[in-house]
Amino acid sequence: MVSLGDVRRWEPGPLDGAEQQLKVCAETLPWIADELSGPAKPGGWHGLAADAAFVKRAQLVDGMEHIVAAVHAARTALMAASDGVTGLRYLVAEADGLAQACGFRISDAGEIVDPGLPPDVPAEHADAVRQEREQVRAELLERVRQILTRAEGIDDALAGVLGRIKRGEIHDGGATSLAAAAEAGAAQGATTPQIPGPPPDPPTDPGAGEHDSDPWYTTFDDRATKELAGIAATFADGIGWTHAAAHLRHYLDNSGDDRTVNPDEMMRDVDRFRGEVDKTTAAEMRRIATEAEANGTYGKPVQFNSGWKGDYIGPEDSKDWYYAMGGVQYAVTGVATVHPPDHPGGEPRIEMDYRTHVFDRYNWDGGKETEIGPVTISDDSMAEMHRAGVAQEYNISGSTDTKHYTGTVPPPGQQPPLPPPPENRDGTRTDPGRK
Amino acid sequence: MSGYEVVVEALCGAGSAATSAGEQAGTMDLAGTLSGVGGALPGSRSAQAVTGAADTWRRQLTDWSTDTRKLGQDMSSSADHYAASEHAAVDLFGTLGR
Repeated sequence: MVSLGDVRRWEPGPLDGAEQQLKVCAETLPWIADELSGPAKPGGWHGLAADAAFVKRAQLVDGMEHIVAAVHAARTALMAASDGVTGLRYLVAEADGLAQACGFRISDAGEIVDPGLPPDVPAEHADAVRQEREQVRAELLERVRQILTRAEGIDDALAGVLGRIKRGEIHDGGATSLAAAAEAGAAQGATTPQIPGPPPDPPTDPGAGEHDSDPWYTTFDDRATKELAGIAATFADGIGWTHAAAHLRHYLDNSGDDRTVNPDEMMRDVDRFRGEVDKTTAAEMRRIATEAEANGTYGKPVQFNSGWKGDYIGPEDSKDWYYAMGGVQYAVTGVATVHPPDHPGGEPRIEMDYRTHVFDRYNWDGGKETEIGPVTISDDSMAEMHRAGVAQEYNISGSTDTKHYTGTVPPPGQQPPLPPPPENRDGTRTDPGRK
Repeated sequence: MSGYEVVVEALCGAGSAATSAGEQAGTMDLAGTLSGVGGALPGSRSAQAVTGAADTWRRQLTDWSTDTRKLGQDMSSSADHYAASEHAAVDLFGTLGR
């Protein structure tokens, strides 16, 4: 994992220099190989020696085609890395400039160093300034995260091509000429970055505390609560709260195993949640388009990662998802390529493949009471079951399949027509095969 | 020139060309082109991957150079052999005709 300090020392110049040297080699290699292109089997030369020489020469030409292909793959990858590092330096300078303008400093470890309120801030404005500084600090942290995500993408792409060269995996595409091998190699150097996975799990609240930590002689009422909760789960399932029922049952199963959820189902059932995710996706599109214009990286695929964002699915959104998840973290990650506007003053176009990820810790710590049909359960009694060791908290996470969007980048305040969640009914009352 | 002489001459030329190609490839420093990449990307996986790619290129070019020079030498040796055989044949026929 690279650090911001590392990225600050990254330089595009030597990458360009290496590419230029390879270009010279790439121009010389075919000329050398041409020496072999004369007749390996001069007319009239027959016999075993002639046949062996013919085979050997063909092997050598093929070997040179593979070398030439690898050289061109490296050239393409180095050019892409150089462009990427140039863009990164712009982003780092911009973040450092913002930090400096606001009296912060970004350390090489990516931490925001805050010397505190300026001494000349009047006491009556201190709270407002402090709040504003907190917002800037959050913005700076987000920029550092995006810089590091971008840096990882650049590094992954170049390291991937260099690794393939090491293992001799750059092929000549079945070429029958060095020119064709060069073309095949160049195409393999243009590694399309992969869609990043979800960010590392976000920190969770402490929940109910340590599992199975209560003395056994205090757990009789918790076993009774478990019976009641089981009834609540059955009732919830009966009225179509299938996710709430399944998650509650998993809690009562007491395994603590992670559980997977499909964010598309959440977005399909909760329009407001889908709207929030789409807003975040559109914001990422605008950010990437702005960077592409500033860095001149139109036409180059770049990775993005929104980082975790918090949302709360309330009972007014969906009682099923409210009881199943409630507070949830989501993130959008993807690969986007921005193209310049079709006409001056127009909006840039973007091609984007992306996924949405969600994360939640299933626990009961709200200090409230919930009525599920005939059963009233308090958060406290549900949390008690975890400490009593008759139920167990667990992590819920999941990612959508990859979605694709091609269209213009919407101006602020406008939403692009992002693809809707698929209309499958897995896990709902209309799905007879639901778990 | 007779047909046999043409073959020997062509074989001689092809052998020299192959030897020359092998020698030139042996002087090319493909691996060295990557020497600045690691320093340009400190802390990266690419910086670590550079050595492996450079080693592969160094080995591939060395092998290619060696094999090509050997092919050239073999072809030249064949040409010499054919030429020697021809001289021997001329000598033999000369003796018979005396």
